[in-house]
Amino acid sequence: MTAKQFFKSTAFRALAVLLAITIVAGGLLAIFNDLLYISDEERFNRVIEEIYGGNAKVEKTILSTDDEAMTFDNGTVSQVYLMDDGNYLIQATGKNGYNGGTVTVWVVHNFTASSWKGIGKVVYESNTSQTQMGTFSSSYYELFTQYNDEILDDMLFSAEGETNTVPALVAGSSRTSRAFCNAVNTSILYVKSELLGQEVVTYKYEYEKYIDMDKSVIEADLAAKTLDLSLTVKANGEAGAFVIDITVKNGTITAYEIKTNGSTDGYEGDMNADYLDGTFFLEKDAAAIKAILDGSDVSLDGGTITSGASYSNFSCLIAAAFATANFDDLCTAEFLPYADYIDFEKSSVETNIEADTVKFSLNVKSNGDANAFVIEITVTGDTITSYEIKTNGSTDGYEGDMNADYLNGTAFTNKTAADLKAILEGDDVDMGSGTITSGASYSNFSCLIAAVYAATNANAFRTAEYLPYAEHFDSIVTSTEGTSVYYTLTVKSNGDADAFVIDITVTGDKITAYEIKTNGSTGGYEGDMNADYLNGTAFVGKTAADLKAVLEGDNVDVDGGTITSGASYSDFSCLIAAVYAASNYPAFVAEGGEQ
Amino acid sequence: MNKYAKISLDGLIFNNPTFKLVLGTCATLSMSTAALNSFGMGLSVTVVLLLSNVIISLLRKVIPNTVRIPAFIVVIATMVTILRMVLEKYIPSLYDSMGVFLPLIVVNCIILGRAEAFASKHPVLDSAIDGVATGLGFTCAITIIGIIREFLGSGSFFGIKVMDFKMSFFTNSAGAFFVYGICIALFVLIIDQVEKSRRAKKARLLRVPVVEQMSEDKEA
Repeated sequence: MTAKQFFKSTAFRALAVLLAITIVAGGLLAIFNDLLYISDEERFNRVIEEIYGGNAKVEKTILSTDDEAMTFDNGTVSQVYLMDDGNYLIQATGKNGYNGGTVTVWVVHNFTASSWKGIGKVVYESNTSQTQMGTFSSSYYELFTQYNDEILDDMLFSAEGETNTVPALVAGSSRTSRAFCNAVNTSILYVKSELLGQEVVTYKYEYEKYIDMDKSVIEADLAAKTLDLSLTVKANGEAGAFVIDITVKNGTITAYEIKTNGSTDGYEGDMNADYLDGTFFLEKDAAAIKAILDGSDVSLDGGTITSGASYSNFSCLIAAAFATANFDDLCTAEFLPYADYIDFEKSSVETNIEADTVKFSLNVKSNGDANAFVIEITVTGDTITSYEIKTNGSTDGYEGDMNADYLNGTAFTNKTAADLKAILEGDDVDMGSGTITSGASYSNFSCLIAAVYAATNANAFRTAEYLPYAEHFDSIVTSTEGTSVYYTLTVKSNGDADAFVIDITVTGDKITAYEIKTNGSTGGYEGDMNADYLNGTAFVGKTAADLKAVLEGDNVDVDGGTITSGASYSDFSCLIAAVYAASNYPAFVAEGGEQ
Repeated sequence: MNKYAKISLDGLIFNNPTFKLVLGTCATLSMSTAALNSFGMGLSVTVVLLLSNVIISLLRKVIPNTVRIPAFIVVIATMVTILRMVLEKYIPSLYDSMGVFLPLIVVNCIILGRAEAFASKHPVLDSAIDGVATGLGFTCAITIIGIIREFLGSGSFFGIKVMDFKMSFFTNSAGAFFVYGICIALFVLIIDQVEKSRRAKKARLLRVPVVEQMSEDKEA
């Protein structure tokens, strides 16, 4: 078929007509979208109209759409206003609806002379993924205002009538009802914690409320991307506590063993056989476990799975859910072996792959009578090569009682993790009390535990995230081919600039390619950026030494993240990406492969 | 009978999309828990039917046969999206109550069915009347089901409480099918009676014995 024949054919005509209709339809939709756009202010005015009949003013904005939403266990609070009648108007979103969706409501909390009187009104705003909204009406929303005595008595709402809740409030869809209850409960928790200053239990990890974190042990191996958990699942309904050992590697469960079965007498045999032997959970990741949790057999609030031993089966499933859902948050330095003794936020780690060294500046938490120690340790290969106490936390008079070899570090240099663990497990050391039998028992223990931590975990820090300048990046993705290392770097938002995504290639010791894929400049500043930075010519052909010289120049403020120029934050982001890529090239080309 | 009257009566009664053709069942069963919601859904479908029928009829000689279905769906989806925007802006309560079933109007077989069977083959005015009539036929049918289910299931009428007695069976899916089935049965019974009396009347006018006329009908 020739081109002329093709353009005269029915196929071309059909495609052309379809394309034309689609384009016109798209244009129409764009026009109507502009004409019928509903702003946040209009939505808010609708709410005021519905609640107050339009006769109300905002006395004070406590939390607006510009602020970060406050997160609670089962929902978030995104807007809070003090109205001129002295009551608070709170926008809350409840999770765990049908299909994992949410419901957003506005709740009026009545206050009289700064005293909380309960819920005055609930108004529905919007939802995601709910299909039975037609069954919910004002009569359902009014139910939430009828239990103020119970609410003031620390009870909450539930769609399933759990303990410590008012009778179940359900209309039509039980899961959507659950999301409604979660939304209103979230507003109650906000009032209690933020307005009344009461202590409210909030959870850091997903499904944490089912896990006894104090009795659980979690250990991360960052280098191997593996998490070893010994989870104690709280007693659930008629089942007692379970202790379950789980190993998760790269987000997938590779080992699962029930060490203590909390089933009540006679029910163990009714448990799912593949839950009992753990085979059900092997090779499953967070998404797979969540899909089971969202199924109709499982009641999250009730803590049951439809089966003979419903509470026990649920305990097994929730342990797997906790382990996989929180893998990324748990596989961090916070959960490395012996991390309990280290204040990681006040510590720092720097890795030099080329020299095979990891330099720690460890803040050892105060221990018994000893205050915090700051100790600098260098691990080369698998051996401590330098040890220096920068801040001695011994209380007055006890420093002289410390082990002299600990004070000067000679007890730890040239020792490996195995050598130091042997000391830790010796008769002189009591890990439970954090002491070593000596005059300054707590201080000596602090010194020893710092050395053990450093030697044991050095390998965990031989990763991209701990290389020099890594703190400037949200994400570091690399791959290696021969002598070239390809980087995709996401530079953290910096001052007024949003995140940049930059692709860099380093071959030999020079940058050979540089391209900005996503420019994070805001409000018209892209035009003010250094043109050579924008097109990458400032960096191509440069070595790490060249770029570090620029970084250390007078017009660069590394701490402030700026370069003296029109688009100072954006230009700095571009420069730091180039410096990171060039400086750490030896680390990646030595490692080889994708990271 | 006048052409437009025939088109109207077909859409409203004799080819009623809900009771006769049993189309749009998903929307019918899910939205008919309350009469007001049913009425709102019916009117929404009517508006989409009218607009999509008019546009498809206008383009019927332009759209090639090979891409007619995708073209119809693009048109219908655009109309539904515009309707969504209008409802969200001006009638948010109806928008909220319809939930996911508002965008599902796109795949309501009544609309695609009328586009394919009528609008793509008839002029604009005929298609418009067919759209309105079919839509109103759907609206009446779904509203009747909604009234029955709301009255028996919630003891109310268009949101106004009229009695305390209620049976939750009628607000769930099983009750929906039950009421739908009963309504179809009653509709068919009534229409059969109407058809019989029309034939009898026609036979009297033509002075043809009714028996022979019925035999001719059977043979036909």
